[in-house]
Amino acid sequence: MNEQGNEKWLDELISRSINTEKPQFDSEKWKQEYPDEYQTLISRKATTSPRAIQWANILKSSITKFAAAAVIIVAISFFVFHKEPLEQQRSQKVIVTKSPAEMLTLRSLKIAYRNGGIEAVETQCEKAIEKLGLKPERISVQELLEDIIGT
Amino acid sequence: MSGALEKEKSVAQKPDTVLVKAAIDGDAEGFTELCQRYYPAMVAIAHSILGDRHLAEDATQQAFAKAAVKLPQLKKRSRFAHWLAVICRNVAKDMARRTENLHTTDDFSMIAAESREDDTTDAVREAISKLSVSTRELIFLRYYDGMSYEQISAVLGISEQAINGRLRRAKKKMADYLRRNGFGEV
Repeated sequence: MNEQGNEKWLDELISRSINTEKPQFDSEKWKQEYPDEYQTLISRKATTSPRAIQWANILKSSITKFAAAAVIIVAISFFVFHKEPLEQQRSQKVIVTKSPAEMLTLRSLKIAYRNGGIEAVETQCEKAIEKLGLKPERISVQELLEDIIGT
Repeated sequence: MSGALEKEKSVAQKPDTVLVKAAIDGDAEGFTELCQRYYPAMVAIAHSILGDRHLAEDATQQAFAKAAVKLPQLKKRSRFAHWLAVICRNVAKDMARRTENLHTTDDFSMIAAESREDDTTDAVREAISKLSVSTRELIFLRYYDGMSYEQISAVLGISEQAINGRLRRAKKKMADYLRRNGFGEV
């Protein structure tokens, strides 16, 4: 007798010997027989407040995770861009401490223009003039530039 | 498709972890689904220890009651079947001790006593009674409800290869016993 044939023969015998009717779980009967345990089971539902469940669902949702990531990105961006003007202010201060001639070079004025537009150029010019001690009653930036550049 | 069949299908599709989570949160329906899923396997385990179908069903229901209370203590939800089997085994052993029906490999005769259909059936039951408790449990799980190796693996917490090896050795022992007692291939 080969092993395969042996197994098949034995499988049939074992099945016939112990394979009884499939047991079915009767939940209603179980609840009646174990009322305390059943109460313990369902009481857990009451201990978990709806608000807690709501928060748990909110925190677990992918939208919340995406929103949190977005907030982090915005915060980092704000930090990076917020830091830059400070450096700009520092560079402006450096420019202010330069001599009036240096403050009115094309390079300095270009930097001032980039940092604060025509108003910054005007401020820088005014400060340079202040340092020089010249106080013309009225002079426009245009006239000043023409005077400096010589055009 | 009938409503009952649809429900049965949806129950089969829900993973244990989802049902366990629901049961921990107090969902009685989730717990009932788990009980229905593992009832035959747990009865098989208890039957292999107690040797009596009715006692086995009582032990299984008691095990479910314990599980309902202890469920929040379960750390790995994916190991629910194994955890439940441990509870069921302990309950069955306690019950056997109380009723003084703890069967050893030598005195496990209640299976044979349950029904006396024919000599071969009795001999097979006697051969099963000669196996160790753990091997007998495996035989019951495999043949009681025709459980797959995968399902048995989940319940016993051992690999499918180990199950295959143990079953082969058990069947060889049984075949040898039957041949020695004059029951060859039918």
